[in-house]
Formats: sequence, C-alpha cells, structure tokens
Amino acid sequence: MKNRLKELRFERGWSQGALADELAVSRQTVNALETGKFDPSLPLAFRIARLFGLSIEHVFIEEDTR
Amino acid sequence: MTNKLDKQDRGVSLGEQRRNRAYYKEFGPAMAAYVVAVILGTTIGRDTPTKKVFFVVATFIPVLLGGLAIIRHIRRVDEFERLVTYQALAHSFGSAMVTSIFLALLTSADIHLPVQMVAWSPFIAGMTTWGFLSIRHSTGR
Repeated sequence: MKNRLKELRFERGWSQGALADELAVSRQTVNALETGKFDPSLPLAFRIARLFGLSIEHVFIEEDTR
Repeated sequence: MTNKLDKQDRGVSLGEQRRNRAYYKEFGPAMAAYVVAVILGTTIGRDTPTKKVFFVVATFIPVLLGGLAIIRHIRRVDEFERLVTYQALAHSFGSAMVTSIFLALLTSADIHLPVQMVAWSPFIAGMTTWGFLSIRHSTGR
C-alpha cells in the first residue's frame, strides 16, 4: 500500500523522530511506513490520519492489484 | 524535495529512548547477576552436589529474569518493532531446530561429539541468528 506520510511530514517540517514521538512509535517504524516496507494496523492508520487532520484514504492509497 | 529532515534525524525518538532505558534497567542487572553467578561458580568450585545445584539455580534465575525483561520489552514496543522481533525469534527458533536435528542425526550415525558442544550448539545457532537479524534491522538493511 502506498502512502503520503513522507510528503505530509515534510509539509509540516517534522523529522522522523518528531513524527515517531507524536505517534508513540519508533523512528524505524516511521521509516518502514514511509518506504512502504510496512503497512500499519487500522488503529495506527487512524492515528496517523487524525494527526494530519485527514481521512485514511487521503493518507493511504490502495494499489490496484487486479 | 529535500531530505534534510531525514538527515538531521538518525537517532531514536524520545518514546523509544524511554522504552530502551526501561529494557536496559531490567535486562542489565539480570545479565550482571548471571556473570557474577558464573564467576562465583568457577571460583568457589562445583565439587559437591550442593554446590552444583547452587550453581545451576544461581545462574538460571538471572537467565529467567533476562527472559522476562525481553518479554516485557516486546510488550512495550510498537507493532512494527514487535513484528520484526517475532520474525527474528521465529528464524532463531528455526536455526536452533535445524542445528538440533543435525546433531541428532550425527549421534544416530554414531558420530559422538562432546556433550558440551551438543548441548550448547542449538542455543548458539539461535542466538547468532537473532543477533544477526537484530543488527540488520537496526542498521535498516
């Protein structure tokens, strides 16, 4: 699944560590999310969306697998 | 787009620092107690059955405490870190099992290795795998 996490973080001028603190996760987790190595659980996805004041579908983009 | 924000930030987050501190506070004393028990066991000696039992108990309790510290750490970390840790544990378990089967097959073929080597090899294989995967994860490779 693709996401706009890096783009949204850059817009706000946050470092990966700062975003990690906001989300109560590790910096490696933020990095794994941004590089698409890891898809978050629904609760974490909601937390991310809420933090940026967006809906989930505006942060995470489903890749067409058909 | 600039990646200055990434370059400025190679360390760990504040929450992570807190979690790591809590882990080291629990795991560190357990391992220190283990080392003390091993040193005592080798200096006092294990010549009587009572001393042998004391040595086993004195070294095994810190090992259990260390295991408990790892379990508590896994409960504290976030979902990605937990997933990575479980994957590393699963691979370590696999390598320990393969080593164990290999040693059992050697014994079946009447190739007898020293008892200490047979006893410790699965543990060493498991820990080496876990260590390798942990380092690979922390360096982001």
